[in-house]
Order: sequence, then C-alpha cells, then structure tokens
Amino acid sequence: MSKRVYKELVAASSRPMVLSILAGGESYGYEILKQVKLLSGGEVEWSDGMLYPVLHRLERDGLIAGRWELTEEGRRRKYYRLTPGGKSQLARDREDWRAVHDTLELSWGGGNV
Amino acid sequence: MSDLDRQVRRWRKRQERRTSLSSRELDELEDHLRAHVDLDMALSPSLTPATAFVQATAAMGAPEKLSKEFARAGKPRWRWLVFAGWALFAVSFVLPAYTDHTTGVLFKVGTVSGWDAFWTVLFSDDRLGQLSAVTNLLVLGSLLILRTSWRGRGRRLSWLLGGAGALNLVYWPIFLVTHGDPVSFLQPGYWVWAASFLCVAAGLWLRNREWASTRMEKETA
Repeated sequence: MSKRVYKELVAASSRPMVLSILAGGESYGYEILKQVKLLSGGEVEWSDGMLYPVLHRLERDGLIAGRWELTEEGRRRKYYRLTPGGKSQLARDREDWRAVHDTLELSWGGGNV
Repeated sequence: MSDLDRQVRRWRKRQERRTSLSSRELDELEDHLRAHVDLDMALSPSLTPATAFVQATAAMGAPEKLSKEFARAGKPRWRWLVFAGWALFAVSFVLPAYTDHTTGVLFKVGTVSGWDAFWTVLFSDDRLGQLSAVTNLLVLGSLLILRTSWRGRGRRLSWLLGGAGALNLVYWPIFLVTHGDPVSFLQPGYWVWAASFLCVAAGLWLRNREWASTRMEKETA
C-alpha cells in the first residue's frame, strides 16, 4: 500500500486525504492517485485498487458525490466532488489531525525523543 | 478492435469470473487502467500498449484482493433489501397463509399455504383479489430488471411494487372484515408475502437513487 509510510497510517489518512484533494475541485480516481503521489513526494503511495473502495465508501456516506461523463476518447469516467457534508467532515478531520500533529510535535520538542 | 481493447475485454471477463465487482465498478476500473496505459505510453514512447497494460493491471492488484477491498467498503444497502425481499417472497409460498376455523368464505375451512391461496384467489370471482394475485408478476419482473440497465423501468417498477405491497397489505384484512371474519385468520405467510413487496420496492428505489447520484451525463460529451 505504501512505500515509506506504514499502511495503517495511510489507511487512517485516506479519508482526509481524498476530501482535501476534492476540496480543490472535481476529480477522478486516477487523477486523485497521482495527486496523492505528488503531494507526498512519493512517500505515501496507495495501491491502485485501494482507492476505489475508499471513494465508494465516502460516496455512500454522503461525503462525496459522483457523476459519470464521457471523456474525449469516448470512455465512461466517474468524477467525484465534495458535498456540503464532506466539507464539514474535512473541517473536523483537519482539527483532529492537527491535534495529533501538535501533540506529537510538543512531545518531540520536549526532549522526549 | 485494437490489441489493447482485446486485452481490456479479457481482463473484464476475468474480473467478472473471479470477483463480485459490478459492471459499474468494472467501468471505473477499466477507465483507470486505460488512463494508466495512456500516461505510461506518453512517458515512455517505446512502450507497447501490451506491456503498458500488463504494468497497469499489476499496479491494480490481484482480482481476489481487489474484490476483498471492495467488499470491505460494503455493498450497497439496496442489494440486501432486494435479496431479502425475494427470499421473503419465496418463503411466503410455503408458509401457512390463511386459517379459516368457521365460515370457509375465502377458502375451505382449515389452513392453506401461500401457494394454494395464490391459485385459489387467481381463479376466484373476486376481481380485486385476482389483481392482488397477479401482482406476484411484479416481484418476478424485478428479477429481470436487475439483470439489465433499464433505469426508467426500474424506477417505475419500484413504485408499482410499493403500490402492490400497499394493496396486498390493506385489501385482504378489509376483505375478511367485510365478510365477517377476523383478521387473525391471516397467517404469517400472508404478512411475509405482503412485506416482500415493500422490501423489493424499497431496494429498487434505493438502487435508482444511487444511480441518479452517479448518472451519466451524455449531453456533456
């Protein structure tokens, strides 16, 4: 699932990661994967097959919405966008991850490591 | 048809055999594979489509693993509702549907199964009763609808099944009361049968709603 970051952490961060990327605009599976790779500098890498179940779960939870379009090549492609519920969830996730991040930073800065 | 198209077709057939992925899920994965192939070939012009496709499918992972990931994300609720509805419908025909201790107005005195009740009502003189029996065709029709992509018909069928469920649930108790018999003559088979219509209707309705949220916008192409 990942090159450097261990898989449990990658899995836990999958929701805020997808929501954050979609906060920047509508996107589709392959594009989202490329974004994750780009943003993490290759440190976080999802297997191709892992992304779609995550997207479908988020869609089922009403956090993102999908729609099908035909591409210029005539292929059916599913695009996802953030819903209002997804925006609220992203705000909550951001607070949670910041709290974890700040706690770790403080503990490392305090000479505990 | 290009070599790549043939490879994609073979890949889809393999997935259909070895996984429980729906055709819509496979559509999405196919688009992913093709996007992967396009990018790899753009980055490495010497790469053949066949090699790029092998690389793309390898990155996608083994079919069994893929299927497991999708299953972990959970199957849509509508499938459970429709399957439960069909199961209830089938079971209702073998369960006791009606017991007449006294009058024999509807059937002969004694207990009749759902199957016997169906045939008796179908050939009775009661027009609404016959209509109620014919509504069984709607549940059987839902078996066909799920094998196709008839969205409009699926939506109409969900409303028809809901209406039929309401009719079946209301008509027979009223029929008994108006003929001086207690509603308690109706046995579990009857209630299970009526509930099965509502279950399948709710499942189809949820399925249509799910499709509506991911409708293909051909006009934008």
